[in-house]
Amino acid sequence: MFIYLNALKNLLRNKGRNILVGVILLIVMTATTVSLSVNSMSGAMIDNFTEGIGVPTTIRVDWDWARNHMTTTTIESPDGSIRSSSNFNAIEIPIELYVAFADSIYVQDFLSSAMAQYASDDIVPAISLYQPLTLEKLMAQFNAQTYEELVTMFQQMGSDEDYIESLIDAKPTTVGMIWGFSKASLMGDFRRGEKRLLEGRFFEDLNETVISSELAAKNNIKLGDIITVSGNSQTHDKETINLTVVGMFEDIMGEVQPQLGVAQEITPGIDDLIVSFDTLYNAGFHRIDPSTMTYFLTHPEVTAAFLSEMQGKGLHEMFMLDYDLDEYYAVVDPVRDMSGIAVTFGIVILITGAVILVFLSVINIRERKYEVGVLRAIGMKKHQLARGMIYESLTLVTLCTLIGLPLGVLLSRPIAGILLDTSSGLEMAREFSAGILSLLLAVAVILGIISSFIGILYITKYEPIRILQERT
Amino acid sequence: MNTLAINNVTYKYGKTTKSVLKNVTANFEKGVLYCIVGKSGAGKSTLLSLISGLDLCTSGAVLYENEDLSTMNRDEYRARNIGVIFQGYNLLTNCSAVENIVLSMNISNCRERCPQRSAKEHVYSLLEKLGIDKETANRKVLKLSGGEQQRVGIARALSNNPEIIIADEPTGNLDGETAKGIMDIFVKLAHEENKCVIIVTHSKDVAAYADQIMRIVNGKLEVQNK
Repeated sequence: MFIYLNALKNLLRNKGRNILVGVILLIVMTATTVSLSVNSMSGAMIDNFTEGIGVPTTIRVDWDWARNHMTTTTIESPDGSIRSSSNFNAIEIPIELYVAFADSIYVQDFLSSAMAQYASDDIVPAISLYQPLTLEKLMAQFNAQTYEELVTMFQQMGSDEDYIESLIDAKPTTVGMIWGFSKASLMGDFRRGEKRLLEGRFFEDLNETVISSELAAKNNIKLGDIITVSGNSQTHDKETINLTVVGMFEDIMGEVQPQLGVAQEITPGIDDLIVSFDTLYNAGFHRIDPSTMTYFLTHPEVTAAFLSEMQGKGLHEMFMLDYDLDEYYAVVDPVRDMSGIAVTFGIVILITGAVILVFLSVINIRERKYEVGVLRAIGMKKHQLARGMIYESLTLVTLCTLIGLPLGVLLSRPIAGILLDTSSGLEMAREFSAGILSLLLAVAVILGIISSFIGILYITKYEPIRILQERT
Repeated sequence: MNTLAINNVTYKYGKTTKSVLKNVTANFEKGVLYCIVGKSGAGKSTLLSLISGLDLCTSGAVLYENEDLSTMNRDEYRARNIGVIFQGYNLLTNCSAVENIVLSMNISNCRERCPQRSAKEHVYSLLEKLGIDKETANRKVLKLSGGEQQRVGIARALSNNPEIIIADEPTGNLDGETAKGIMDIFVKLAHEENKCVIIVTHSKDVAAYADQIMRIVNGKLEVQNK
């Protein structure tokens, strides 16, 4: 105990030196706190940002794989010429698999839309009645002599045999398309002002629908009415579902032709129904075509793991993930860079401070050499002296940490705002955590040891008689 | 049993070939006041540093109660068993007189025999006997005169009640009356408190107090008849 009390008294006896050491320690601890806090806040900002939007990811064909797996077919034209065409048999991903992929720890959000043809005994289309097709009519329409020829023609147009079947299998009461969206914000035509809601609201619950004002007028449908629809496959769609009309939209763009060269998104027509994605998915229609399937991943680094998980669930090797990280990195990279600057600055201050402390320690021990000699001469043991020096250093470091830590915390937020050139998001970021406290305490201990290290080396190296003889 | 014994001690500084002390043999007992005299550079202070455990001899042995100092914990020995009064005082200059002595008592652990308050009172009383009042005792050592510092050094050496008291020119900076008073204390310590007192001095007046005088000549120790 007397060693510690003597150490405290020594701190007061050597005021000038200790004030200087204290100032340096205070600067180091404050700067280290600021550096670590800015780093922590940056990390929190990045996490909040990532959590907020995720990494938008879609599935696309791996065209390298496709090129390596093309099939070449040779066709003889009626005029006798031979032509070959290379085809790639794209595999359709069933909508159930798309939905299954979304059930993943890597997916924080899933935006989806799909469409299917619907039929109804209650509704007639506002534009024109659907004309059912037979296989014969279709073959005649495309001038195909055989079914296989028809299939080949459709394949050359990018459609498959299933499409042919959908044409000839359609119910005569087919009205139009039913569109399912997981979020109303996916409906770009409403966002762009091409359509607008005239009455009611968008769907919120299952089995709610929004229809066009033309379709409503044609069929005398009002808000709140229930319409009964089914899928349009004669063979497969036997069940019906009831939809409640909750909103009516007006197609402002209507028949207006777009400018040439302007890309057009396919959007619901006036005979179409708009429902939630879950409504359409749960309806279980035979043919549902997925439209938008965007997975928002939790972090850019999980893309490989997510792809692996999808392949485990049945995603064919011909598909790969497509993700755009430019927007993500455009926000994250500057934050990371500034955080890196803060950490580098903190490390530089730490090293510089440690070097200065060693310097001061060397000067100090020269001044206190005589004191060491006297204490050893009257019987103080080396380890007692060393302990005294460590107590002095640790007391000083503790005091400076107790002042520097809250000071650093106070300064870190405004400094982070200046470095990051924003205060947006900072208010949500915690500048302090148990991890930072542990690091700071470790830094404090290391600085305390460094500042007493030279003294301890001296004590162990020189005998008291030499020190006292030097003085005399 | 001799309290302290020096057996054929030889000492050379560093890698020099010349021995400062050559085959020195002497015995020191309790209850006796010894004076070691000799010319400057004779090796008196060197002998003092050997018997106080501050240094080790080149050959031979210094025995404390038959135990070789080279095998003992010499820090313990200096803290508990001896009291050394240095020629240059060797006080802690950033402490007061009282603080110097209380620290010495803490190091020797003799404070375990008396609690905090009475330790300071003990020191004040000790300093009073040496002619230093309480006010002077509370001053920083640098603000004391040479004589006062010398007396503080003496008080420090006596504070842990050692068996052996080793003094290097203890009255060097003192006036005649004070010096006499100090020597009376040393005599009393030797004869009444049965301490072994060893004094190195140039002064014949101081040597006159000794029960036994030893002279160092050419590195050898000669015991002189008083």
